[in-house]
Order: sequence, then C-alpha cells, then structure tokens
Amino acid sequence: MLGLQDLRNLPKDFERKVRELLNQDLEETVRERLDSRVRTITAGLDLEELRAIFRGDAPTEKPNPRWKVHTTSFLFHIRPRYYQRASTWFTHTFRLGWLSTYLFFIELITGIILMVYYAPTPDTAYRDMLNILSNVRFGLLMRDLHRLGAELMVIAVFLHMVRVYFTGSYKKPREFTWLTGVVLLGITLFLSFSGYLLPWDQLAYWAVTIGTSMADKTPLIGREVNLLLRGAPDIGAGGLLRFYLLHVLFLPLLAILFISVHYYKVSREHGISLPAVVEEGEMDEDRRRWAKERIDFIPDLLTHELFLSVLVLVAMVIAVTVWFDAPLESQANPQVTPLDTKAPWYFLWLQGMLKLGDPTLMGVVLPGIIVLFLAAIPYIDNNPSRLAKNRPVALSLGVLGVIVLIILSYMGTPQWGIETPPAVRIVQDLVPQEGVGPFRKLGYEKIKLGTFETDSFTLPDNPDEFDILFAEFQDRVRNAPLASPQGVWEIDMLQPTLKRVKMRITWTKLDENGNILLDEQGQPVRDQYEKVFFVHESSGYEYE
Amino acid sequence: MVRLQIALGVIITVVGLIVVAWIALNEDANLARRDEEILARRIERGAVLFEQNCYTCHGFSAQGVPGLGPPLNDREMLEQRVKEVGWPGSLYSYLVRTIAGGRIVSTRPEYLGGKASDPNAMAMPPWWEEYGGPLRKADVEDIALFLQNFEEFPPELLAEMATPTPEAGEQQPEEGGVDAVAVDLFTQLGCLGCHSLATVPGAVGTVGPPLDGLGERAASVIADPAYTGNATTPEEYIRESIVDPSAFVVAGYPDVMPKGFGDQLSEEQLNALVQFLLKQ
Repeated sequence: MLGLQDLRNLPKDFERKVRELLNQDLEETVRERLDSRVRTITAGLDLEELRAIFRGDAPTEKPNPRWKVHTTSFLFHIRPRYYQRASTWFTHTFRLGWLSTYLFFIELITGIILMVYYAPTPDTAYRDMLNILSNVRFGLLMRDLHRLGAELMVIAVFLHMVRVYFTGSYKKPREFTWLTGVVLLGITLFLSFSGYLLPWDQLAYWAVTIGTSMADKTPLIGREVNLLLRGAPDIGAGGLLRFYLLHVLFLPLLAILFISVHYYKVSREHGISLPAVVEEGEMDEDRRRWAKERIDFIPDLLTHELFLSVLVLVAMVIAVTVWFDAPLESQANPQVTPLDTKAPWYFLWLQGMLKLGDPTLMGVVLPGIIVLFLAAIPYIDNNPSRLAKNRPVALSLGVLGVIVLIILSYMGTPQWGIETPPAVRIVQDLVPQEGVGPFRKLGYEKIKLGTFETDSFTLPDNPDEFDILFAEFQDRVRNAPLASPQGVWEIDMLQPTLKRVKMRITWTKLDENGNILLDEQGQPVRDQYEKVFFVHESSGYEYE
Repeated sequence: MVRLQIALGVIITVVGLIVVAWIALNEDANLARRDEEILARRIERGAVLFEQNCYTCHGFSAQGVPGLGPPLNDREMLEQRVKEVGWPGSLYSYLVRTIAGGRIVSTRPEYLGGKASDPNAMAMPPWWEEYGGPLRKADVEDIALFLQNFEEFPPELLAEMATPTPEAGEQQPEEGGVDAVAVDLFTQLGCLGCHSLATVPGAVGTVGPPLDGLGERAASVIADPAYTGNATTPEEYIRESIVDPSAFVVAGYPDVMPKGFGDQLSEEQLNALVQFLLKQ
C-alpha cells in the first residue's frame, strides 16, 4: 500500500534518483548494459573478450571465459574445450567427419523447405517437382542443393571411413566408434537411396526397382522384405509413401541418434586420434610436446569451422548455379523400362557384382559379408601399431579394396556387359530416351528440314553443327556391324513450332549362318529400327 | 590464422550473397522460362503419344481419316467445335475430357463412316486408364497440349518448308518423284485409314477394299456385269473411284468414302495418284 509518508518522500526520492543518474558515467553505464547483453548472447563472453578473440589476444579474465561458454551454452557443451594440436592437422582428418555432419544439416534444412512443396503420391509427386522448378522462387536452388548435398555426403562419409582406416584410427580404444561409423555409412547410403525415388521420374522409379529387387533375393525372407519396402509387389503409391517416410522421418532420426553416439565417443571419450607418428613414431620430444599442446576450441577451431561452413556452402551455391543440375527425367512409367537403366552411382558396385553371378550370392550374401567384415575390422586387426610401416597387410588390403570397388562400379555401368542392338545404340546415343543427347542439344533453330541419307550425304565445305552431327551418324551407321546399313533422317514441321524427326536405320537381314535372307521375290529382306520424336521451339535443349 | 579466416570468411560470404542476389534478380525470368520449357517438352511427349495411339483414326499428322476420325490439326476449328457443343470450359479441358473418356456415340456421324453401321462400336474408345484405356492422366493431358498447339503456318514458314535446304535438296531421290507425291497424298488424305496397301507404311485400314493388285484387278471389275460405273479402262475406273466413289461400291463394303476428292485434288495430283494405284 502506498502510504501518505511515501507521497511525502516522493520529491526526495526523485531528487536522489536524478542525482544518482547525474553522478553516473553515461559511457560506463551503456558499456555495462551492452556487456551484459553480449554476455547473454555469447554465453559468457563480454565485449572486451570478443575484441581479444578477433585480435588473436590471450583471454582477458581468469578463469578463461572462453571455457565457460562450454558449460553455459547447450550447443557448445557438445564440443570439447580444446583439441590436441596434431589432431587438428588438416592432412590428418581432412575435416571429413565435420563435413559429413555439416552436409547432413544442409540436407535437413533444404529438405524441410522442399517438403513444403511436395506430396508423396504417384499423382502429385512428379507434378510437384515441375512446380518446384517452374513456380517456386529458389525452388530449383533448394532442389539442386539438396541433391548435391546428398551426393557430397555419400562421398564425404565414404572418404571419412577410408581416412580412418588408413590412419588406423579405428584401433583400440575406438572400436565402438568405428562400428557406429559403419552404421552411419549404411544410413547415409539408404537416406540418399530413399530420396532417389521421391521425384517419381523414370530415373528414380527404375533405380529403386532394381535396388529393391535385390532385397527380393534374400534367402527365406526376401519376398517379405521386398513387400515391406514396396508396399505391394510393384512400387506404387504404397512404396512411394514408405520411401518418403523412411526418407523424411525414420532414417533422419536414426541418423541423428547415431551421429550423437558417434560424436559423443569422439568428443567426450577418446577425442580425435592423434596422427600415428605423434603417438608412437620417432619424433623429437619438443616437437612431440608441441604437437600435443592444447588448442582451445574458442576461438581457433570455431573460426576455422565457421570459415569452412561458409566456404562449403558458397562453393555449393556456385556449383549448382554454374553446372550442377539435379536430374529430372520423364514421369515414372512402370510400362516402359528405359534403355540404360542403372542404380545410383554409389550402388553401381553392387550392380557390377550382380552381373558376375547368382543374384542371391552376389546381391545379398556377399554384400552382407562385406558389411559384417567392415564392422569387424577393429576386432580382426589385432596389430596394435597404427604406423603405416607396421601395417603393410592392412594398407595393401585397403588399397585393393578401393581398387576393386572402382572396378566393380565400372562393371555396374550399362556400358559394361550389356549388348544393345547396334542400330538402337546409335540412335540412343544421339537422342537418348531420357535426357537431351547431342541431337536435341543442337536446338530447334539448327535442326534442318529435309531428308538426309547416309548413302548420298557429303559434308559441305562449311559444315555447321547439324552437318557434323549427321556426318558422325553416317560414320557410325557405315561402320555398324550390320549388312549394308543405311540411315535416314526425315525432318519436317508438324506444327509451326514443332519439328518432327524420323531417324531410321535399315539393314539386310541375315540368318544364323550369316547368309542373306531372301523374300518370295528373291529380294533381300530388310530390317529397320525407327525412332520418331519431336522438338519444340521453346524446349530449351540448347541451354542444357 | 583466426583473423585471416575471419577476413576470408567475410569475403566469401559477400560473394555468396552476391550470387544469391543474382539468382534472385533472375528468378522470375528463369521461372517463366522453365515453365515454357516444361510446356514445350510436354507438347513433344504428347506428339509422340499421338503418333503412337491416335494415328489410325486421326492420321499421322492429325489431318483426320475420312470415315474414321475428324481432323484435329486446326486450333481455330477446335475452338469452334467447343462453342458448337456448348462446352462451358476451355478447349484444353474439352480435349482432356474427350481423350480420357472417348465417345460412346458420335456427335458427328459423318466422320464415322464404316463404324456408324455397327451399333455396338464406340465412336471413340476411352484412353485414360481409369476408364479402361491404356494412358495415364499426364499422357492424356500431354496429348491435349499437343493438339492445342496446332496453329496456322505463317506464310514465311510455309515458304521455308517449300524450299528445302540445299543439302536436303540433293538428297531427294530423283527417280520415283511421281510415286513419292502419290504416297504423300495417300497418307495426307487419309486413304490409309480405310484401305490397306503394302507399299505405303501404315496403310492397314479395313473399312474399304484392299488396294494391292488394283491395277491388275481393275479390268476384270469393269468386265463384271455387276459393275455399275461408266469406266472403260482400268485408269478411268480408278479415277472414277476417287472422284465419284458411289458410282460403284465393291460388294461387301459400305458406301462411305468421302465424295469431295475431285474438287480437292489438282489434275496433276489426281494423275499421280491414279498412275500410282494402277501399278499396284
């Protein structure tokens, strides 16, 4: 209650307050207030300290306020206060673990934005893709970043594992960390693969059909696993929804869990391994002491990480602006199997293995053994030394493993071991079923009207791109392993903005013994392959 | 190192912001361009689907096949048609609906020819899978987009089409020029929709009599007492069949062949066609 006495004191109190304010140093007050705000934002660092950090000076107070951040801030308490100098050498880690995590966060953010414009049903998914490209501001940028991030993440995680293997960092006491790393590699691959289906284009549909058909070959439970993944014998609405939920919910949660466990082991329990040479190699003691010196996370490593974050993000933005495009083929069509169907590049090794033998053995049993072997490496390898010179067998096996992986991946490409009839191959190379190809790349304007035949065509003195392309076609047709082959391009206009192209290759039919087949009139029987397609004025193939 | 990285980081951030600003500035134009590209590619797809599915009744170039399906290669005519039937929506929706559901009963039986005599035949089958057809919704839409893209050829384009490029000119086969004209006419007029003829690709129609061996057969037809026309030579017989098809109708076939070819064809064209058919 406000009493009478209080009212009487009011003028005096006011006077006192004014006197207090007048006696205060205004600059000091502002500084204090600002400091307090800055401390709140930076979880304990005041202005002076921040300035020291930017200048590269020593901490301004004791105890070190930069360490305090690690207790007051949630995000910073996850990070260690300091690292040993040698464990931060760039050539030791190449920052691959950091890069993998950073890309994971880029994927989360771009993925959530893309989710806003996407509904996972066969009727809407593809239309939503087109809408994202043609109707959503920065939609293309987000999609390209998401795709590029996914591919880079697979590369980063794989290289991270290779690095850990070659530096022997999986060895005791880090066996469990390695194990969680193997799980994370698997999660990364499946995250990327589950996202592959979502655009619902031919590329997605058939890559995933191939992928899930491998699950079918699992002994005993193959059919069930396949049904569980696809939701039906073939991929349809059910399969799309399941892959979507795997991609946006289950796998990311699993990834967050395993990243947390993995990182907890690294940051709290064993730290990043030191280079073997520092740990056990021959080294000058002073230098060894220097290499093991502590480097504070704040500011040295924090600035480094911020710098790398900006560098990677801007590099990615430039990459997608200049050359990287997330592919989008025509809408998924279960009735049409495109030529040259292939698995995503990171599963090409598996496709390569499948070409070598029994699908159950090559597609399920052997990959299963490989994964088990990977997980068990720290337990199999009982050589305590991490120095390269002491690990000739392990390192040779590692190099061999990488080489085999590359060879298998090459064998997984459609170019290896799959014979396409020569005429189909020639036309497919010029105008692929999916994608642009050199013919469409000419662009509407440069595609000439008329009939062009390989028998009579001669390259003019000043050939343009069209002539050169036809000359290449002529060359390939003439050298095709076919009996008296002939090629024709018939190009006319169907609509004022639409050119119709008929590409035809004819040849004489031979019987099994290589003899010419004759019809009733005694004339050689001709066989032919023809592809009819159209090019519209505004298709913009020339810009791709 | 700290200061260097901060400085570099700031520079890179600025570069990144400039790139994003550049994207933002061009975004509207790019969205419009991509929209156009997507539409253009859908038209291309629709054209392929049309050639694969619709040519038997509407011809390879949508010029129509007399007796089977009306021409569709004229946007103005299509717009007119939408008004005639009192369709309240757009031409696009009319096309999508017609392709998707087909026609149980023809609205213009004069185009139906042979099929009109069969009360059980649908005028046009449904094409959307939901209605029992083979195509998906997007396919139906793409075909509609393609048909909507028919415009009249501007004169300068017609001139360009008439004078092929020099290289192309050299390729044209010199011999068989008349035959080539006739085959083109046979295709463009839609003869192939109703008549079969081994020498013309796609000529597999069964509404009218087959034309293979016509030249040899013609004489015996004229000699037949059942013949009702005025021709005295095989040449005249073929000419009469084109110009006045009702003069004599081969037994077992309906009298549905369009009557207007005499006015439609020039004397040279008619001659080319007659000479070509005479050789069959």
